[in-house]
Amino acid sequence: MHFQGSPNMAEKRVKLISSDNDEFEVDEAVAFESETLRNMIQDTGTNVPISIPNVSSDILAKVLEYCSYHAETMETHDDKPPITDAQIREWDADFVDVHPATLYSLILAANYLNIKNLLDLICQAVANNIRGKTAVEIRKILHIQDDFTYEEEMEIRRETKWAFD
Amino acid sequence: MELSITKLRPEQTEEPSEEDKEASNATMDPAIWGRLHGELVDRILLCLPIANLYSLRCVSKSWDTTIKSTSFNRMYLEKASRGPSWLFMCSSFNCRDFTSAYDPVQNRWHNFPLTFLPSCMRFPLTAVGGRLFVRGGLTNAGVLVVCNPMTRSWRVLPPMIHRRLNSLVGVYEDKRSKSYKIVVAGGTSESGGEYECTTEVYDSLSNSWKVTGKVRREITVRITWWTSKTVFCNGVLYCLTSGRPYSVIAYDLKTATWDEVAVPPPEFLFCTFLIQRRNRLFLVGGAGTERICEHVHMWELKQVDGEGKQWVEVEKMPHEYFQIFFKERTATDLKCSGHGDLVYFYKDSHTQFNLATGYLQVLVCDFSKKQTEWRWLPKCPLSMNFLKFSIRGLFLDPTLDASV
Repeated sequence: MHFQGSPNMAEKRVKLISSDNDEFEVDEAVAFESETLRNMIQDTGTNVPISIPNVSSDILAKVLEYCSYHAETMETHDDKPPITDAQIREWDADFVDVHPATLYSLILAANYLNIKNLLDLICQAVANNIRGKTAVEIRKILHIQDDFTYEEEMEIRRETKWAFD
Repeated sequence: MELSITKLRPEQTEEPSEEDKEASNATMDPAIWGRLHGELVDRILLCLPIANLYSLRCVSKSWDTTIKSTSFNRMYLEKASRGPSWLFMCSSFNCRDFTSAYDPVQNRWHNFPLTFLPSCMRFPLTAVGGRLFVRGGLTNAGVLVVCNPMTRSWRVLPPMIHRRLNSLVGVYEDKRSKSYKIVVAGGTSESGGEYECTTEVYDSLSNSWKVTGKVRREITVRITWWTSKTVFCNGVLYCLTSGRPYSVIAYDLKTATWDEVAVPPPEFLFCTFLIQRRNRLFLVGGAGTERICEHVHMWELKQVDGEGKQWVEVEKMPHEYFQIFFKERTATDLKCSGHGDLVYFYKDSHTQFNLATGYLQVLVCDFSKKQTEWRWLPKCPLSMNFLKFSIRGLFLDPTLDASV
């Protein structure tokens, strides 16, 4: 086994291969934003490319963009002022301002790669999309069968009347 | 969560559009989202504001079960634990039929009558955590009920040992054991109208009352009719006595003893209330000369170097708002309810103050911002036609996870 000489973790690079066989190379610190990748790297080291069979290259590129930005926000530079929480929030909001179909792919990728903050961010974005939708619309979108009788549904609507104001 | 996702349609996957940006308003395609698995659906539901979440209980049986489940509610509470409590504006004489709830996160009101209660249970007492305490009227005056407005569950508490009217009531919530204790003191006996000097405490763990000590008679006389003037702070129940000169008395749950807070509040107070904020005790009220209110202040009870504890002024209502509340400087009807970083000011519904606009006007002083912010709340839906009486503001955490 060959170990790279540098003791500096930040200089270690990790190779990732998407489902459509595109290769990405990132700093180890960027990959470490993902719990799944962290475990894999700790198992196999950084010399072997890691294959991510269920994430396509366009989605993986987006996820890595998120990871590099957030890894960078953790670093301190003497010459640059630190990135403020407000700046991060703005960046995040911009990041999830995408088509719902992309959000869907991102949520699966974030879940598989176990990037908790990204998953929370996307879930919140999806929740914002869902907000204000009626039960009928939700059933349609998520393919859920309405299994209530008319009386049962009316009873729940009566109990939660305040929520429909 | 077990989701009853029925049919998964064959692939008709829509490619993400080139114009991904600014596309978040595009529709969610069922062909894609219909495949989302239950665990992720749960995570998304946890991000919804509570009113949206509850309106989705009627999506399906499994959604209803999930949203009502203890585990989901624990997670929801954890996620939203930093959110401020809701302000429940109750009619003092009939909260059963006239209650509205203000959600500070969404900045909106919900009409929230407590019609699940029996019609004789209609006098609001106090609220803590997710529980609201109500007492009966006239013939059932000594009967106390605990309820969770979200689950619409309620039960009658065992009768007090010394049944009484107009007593002081404070409720303490132990978040760890999810239990609560009700302290009752003073008031007049149900039969003879004698002052009641005993203190008794109800513990939800044992579901029973226990007499825990006496209040000195001279204090008892001054704590009737003042159930709205109590607040728990660090396990101590503080209570403002009625009438000038005001004083603050305190009941320590641990030692089961009453004491007077040795620091006298400022002189010539109007409409005073006690507030707990981040485990610190505040006094809010008008101050001025004997008959004229000149300002509304907020004082904090704190240690001052070399002088022991003092009521130190921390905030003053801006003059523009003060003028609106105190058009008549002798007015004595300002009310205040505060919890956490939000302190609300309002007047009883029948006052000219509200009649002029036709709705209950509520001002909030918000300490959560870097700079204290004062603003009016949106229009409260409580109908003025039926509200020709006084109003009580209580604080409640909307949760299904508060059993009665």
